[in-house]
Amino acid sequence: MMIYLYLLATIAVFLGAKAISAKFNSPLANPLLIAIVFFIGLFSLSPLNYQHYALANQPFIWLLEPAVVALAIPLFSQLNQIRANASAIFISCSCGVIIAISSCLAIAVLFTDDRVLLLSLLPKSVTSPIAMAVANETGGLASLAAAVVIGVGLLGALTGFSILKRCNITNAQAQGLAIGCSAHAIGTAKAIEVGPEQAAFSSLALVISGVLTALIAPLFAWLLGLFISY
Amino acid sequence: MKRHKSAKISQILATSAKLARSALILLACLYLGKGLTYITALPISGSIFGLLLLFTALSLRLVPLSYLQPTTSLLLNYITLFFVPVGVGLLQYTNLLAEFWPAIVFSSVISTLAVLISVGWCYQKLTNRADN
Repeated sequence: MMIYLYLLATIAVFLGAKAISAKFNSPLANPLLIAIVFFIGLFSLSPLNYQHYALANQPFIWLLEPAVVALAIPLFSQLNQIRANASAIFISCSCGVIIAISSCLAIAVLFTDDRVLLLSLLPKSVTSPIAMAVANETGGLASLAAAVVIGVGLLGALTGFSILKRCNITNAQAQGLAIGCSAHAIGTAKAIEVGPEQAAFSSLALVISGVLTALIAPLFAWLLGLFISY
Repeated sequence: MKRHKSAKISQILATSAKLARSALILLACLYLGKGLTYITALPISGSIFGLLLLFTALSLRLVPLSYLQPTTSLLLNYITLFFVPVGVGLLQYTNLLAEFWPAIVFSSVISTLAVLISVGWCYQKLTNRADN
């Protein structure tokens, strides 16, 4: 029973991190990042058992599933905007998915010819349940895929909006799509804080890129197999 | 005094009934979505199918938005909190990450930036709107 104190600890540390990040005007002062770094530091440096923490925080992991379903709400609230721009949305997301997979593989093959590693990196831009399923199906490692997906999501959530602004991508819809395509649900969580249009278009990109990746990943895995044998 | 109290109780009951209704609709979508994952045998998660089902139900006016609000606004307000244990879970993969870090870091960082900029740029060009 005592381990459930870890559940309260997650809430307390997150609220503390929120208070700290409100004082700094930097994308790195992100409550999610601060809370994660705090706990990783805690479990690496102290004899406390991470497994207890994982077990106690299972309710939050479980709540992520209905929370993703709830993203239908911001999507629905922007229904007219989505209808009006349907083809631009679909074209942008398709480009995004193809660039996500091909650029990731093209760079990774410079460092490794380990096929399992490459296949685990392939679904890095989509939400973790889809990424794990894709990795499983194509012959990658689901756990490694999940780890990469989390890292990519954090990167996009932390730096995404400031990079977009710097590149003069100021349209709220374009920002949302870009964040959802590159940083899936973790990026979408950040987009919810930024604005309703960003939230809706990020949710939309999360869905489209997730589904497209699931459908075309086997094709890329097959192409990869032509170049790299076991 | 007594009447005031019973009014308060019925108000609490009505609020919890609305909360329960919204949670049930949301869970129904999630589990129908999981069923679709099972039936189609596609690597698409139940939560994504559930999102699409709920979106369809809302678009077809099968369910009014107000029926969902109590639970969904709660979940969406705290979605970032739910990612804390997910991120702490990176601890489990330190061996894998230490072994393969150059391939992982370079490919995922550069590729993420490429996707971010190209999708934003592409959509902005297609819709011809730089500013809102």
